[in-house]
Amino acid sequence: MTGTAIADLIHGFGVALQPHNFLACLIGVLMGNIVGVLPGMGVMAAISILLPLTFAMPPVAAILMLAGIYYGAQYGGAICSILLNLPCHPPHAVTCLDGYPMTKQGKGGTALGITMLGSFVGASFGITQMIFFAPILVSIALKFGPAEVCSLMLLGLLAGSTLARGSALKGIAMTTFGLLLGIFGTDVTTGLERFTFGFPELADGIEIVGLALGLFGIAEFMKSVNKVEPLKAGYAKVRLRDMRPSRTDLKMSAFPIMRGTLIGSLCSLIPGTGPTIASFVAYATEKKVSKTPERFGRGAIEGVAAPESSTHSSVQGDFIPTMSLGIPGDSVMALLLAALTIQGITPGPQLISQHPDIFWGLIASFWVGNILLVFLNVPMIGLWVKLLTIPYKYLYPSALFFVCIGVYSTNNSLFQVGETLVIGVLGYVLLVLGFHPAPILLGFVLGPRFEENFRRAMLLSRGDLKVFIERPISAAFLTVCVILLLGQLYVRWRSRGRVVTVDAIAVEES
Amino acid sequence: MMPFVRSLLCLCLCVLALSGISVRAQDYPARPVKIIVPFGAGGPADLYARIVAQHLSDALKESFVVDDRPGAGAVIGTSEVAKAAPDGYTLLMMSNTHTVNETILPNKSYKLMRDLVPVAPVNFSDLVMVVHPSVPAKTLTEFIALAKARPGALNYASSGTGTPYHMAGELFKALSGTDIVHIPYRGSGEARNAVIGGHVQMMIDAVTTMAPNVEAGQVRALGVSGQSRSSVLPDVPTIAEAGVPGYEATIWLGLMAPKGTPDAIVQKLNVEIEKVLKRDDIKQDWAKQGATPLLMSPAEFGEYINKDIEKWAKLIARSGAKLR
Repeated sequence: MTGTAIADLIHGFGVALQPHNFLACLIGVLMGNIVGVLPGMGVMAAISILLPLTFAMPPVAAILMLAGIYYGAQYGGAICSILLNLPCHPPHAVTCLDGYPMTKQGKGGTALGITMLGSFVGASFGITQMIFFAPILVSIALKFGPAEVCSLMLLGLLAGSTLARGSALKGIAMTTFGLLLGIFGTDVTTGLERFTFGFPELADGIEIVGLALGLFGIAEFMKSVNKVEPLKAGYAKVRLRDMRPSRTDLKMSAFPIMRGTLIGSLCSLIPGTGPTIASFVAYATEKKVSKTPERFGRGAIEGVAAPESSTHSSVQGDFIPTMSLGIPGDSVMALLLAALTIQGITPGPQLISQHPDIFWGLIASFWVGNILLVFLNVPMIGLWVKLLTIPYKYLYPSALFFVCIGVYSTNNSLFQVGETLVIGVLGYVLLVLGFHPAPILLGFVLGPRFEENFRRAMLLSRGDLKVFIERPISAAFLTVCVILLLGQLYVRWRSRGRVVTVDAIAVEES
Repeated sequence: MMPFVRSLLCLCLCVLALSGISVRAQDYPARPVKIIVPFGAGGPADLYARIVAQHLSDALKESFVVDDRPGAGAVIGTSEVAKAAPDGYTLLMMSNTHTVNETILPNKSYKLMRDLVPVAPVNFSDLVMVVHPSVPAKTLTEFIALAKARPGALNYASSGTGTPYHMAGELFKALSGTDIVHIPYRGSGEARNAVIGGHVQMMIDAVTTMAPNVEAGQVRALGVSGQSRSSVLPDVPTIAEAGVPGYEATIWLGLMAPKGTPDAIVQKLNVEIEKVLKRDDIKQDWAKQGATPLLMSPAEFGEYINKDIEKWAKLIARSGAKLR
């Protein structure tokens, strides 16, 4: 099997390197990268704008271009998160936690360098698993029913509630607040609207792009707009040699990149678990295994390396269920499937045998595209960092301008721009009071998944709670939850005095 | 301030004057026409709107622009069209989601047949009923027998409460007299995953998206939902011929305009759209995608919509409590 896979892959490279296919891939990653850099301009917007263009293209070129936009945007998305604290796509929100502090310390270039490296490693692993393990992975993924996903989400919530630095109580409060925000909108099970206050615009819930940009970007902007001077001094110090990650940086990031990659590839397989959840889980894991968790949130390089490689490995891995089952992992994948359908090709289990050109050409183009992206982005790091030398009074208003356009473009709705501004003000108030926004996003992402799958599991078991312990995968997740909780309590009980002082410092600092 | 207000008034007058002139059908369209799609980009409504818009632009020498306004189960985009000026320059791409919404969303700001007028239907797509291979039933009659032997024991997945897929399932239950539990998912991808993974026994989904999984043996097709067999799965009988007479549930699309749009413009659009739908290349392309062009006059289309609203209202009244 391995032998044929390699032969097929070589055939795929032949397809991907044909001049017009190569050009389509190049245009795709370039467009994706550019759109990704703009705050809030989602990959959804980019793909839906360019979708009609591909109608006239041959199928292989069309799909290579659209896929290129997808992963190209992920590369670009990290840039604003790290340099401006503006998470352009929700998965990058966690990157802000340590990326932006690194920028403030004048190490923005290093963070970007590590991001590019981690992204490439993550993506390469995602592609490799797609080539060799797709059938096995798909059969594992299909074992995940509502009970399993529900237990996994519970584990994610527990593990992630320690995401932010500072008081544990405040972290839990923010996670709960995020869960509450996740309830807004139409209930999937009954079709009833909750907390919409009569606005039809809220019927689909709060827009995650708006929430991420509001809580991180706008709140941070409001916080720092009055004290421009000290920040500016930090930005100006960036020099060329600071842009390359040092040997120590590389050493510190190696394991986080590997762990992040693995987590990302696992997350991509479980239905309904896209890159956003992958990056959150990777960050939380990193903080858990770290010997110095207190460094997180203050510019720890691991906090940039792990979530970024996880995002990219998950982005590539997302193509596995999409291509081999015809089941999209998220809305962007659904768009890609639609693009193939328009070309008269239906993705599904027979795609590989019926259209080997598309399948293997696409896989080979992933590598071509990722290498192109590294070449495009590494020389550009210097240029991106130069962005920061633009005076604050010009830089931030224009960034906010793009935020508004980006949020508007997600649903062509002005309401959502207002929503983002309201969330921004709220985020600012929370930030001033020492509440960190990251757990809000975690609760918001995981909460609805937990609730929906819990109720689905209950519907399927006709109300029998035993289903969560009778199904082995679900039982395993729940066991880990219990161990985690007991461990946490034990550590607390052992070192009551110390924890209090650490918390006090953290609160004061934020 | 005053100059600003004055120029604003001027602008308003200009717009009014322009729209006044353009109401005459022979001059229509004199400026770009907007087709609002109240669903997400990349979905079938968006894609077919773009194809129709492209051909209309070529034929009428004026651009037809597709504008996606998704949200709230099509309510956001639809209310926008309902409120738009009735001059033929704002159109709505609608589907049977709208006819179901008439009953399940009584509090929305518009009423379909009160605030909008039918222009022309576009097409319909067949659905297919599939079961996981572990389900012992090989045919539809066997499946009905199985469901009747174990009332309330089987489950079916749908892409969400109140969607046409959910309605298709409820219609099946009502006409076959079976009791199968509805498990709503967020979107048809998640629902398909549940059926292929064997967590849920049955679902009714678009025939084109399901066909490869049927061919690979991951699911078993029991029947297609249209009046006649689908070109995509020609060996699968219709649900009506396989044991549930009178069953029909498809996904159809059509165009509507704000109430008060001049009849001459509505007729002109209907004729132009019909020309597009009769093209051979359109017929062939759409057949591959499992879609069949629908041809009707505006009046016939109005009747079609009314009948559909009534059909779902009756069904929802029958199974009412379970829907909400």
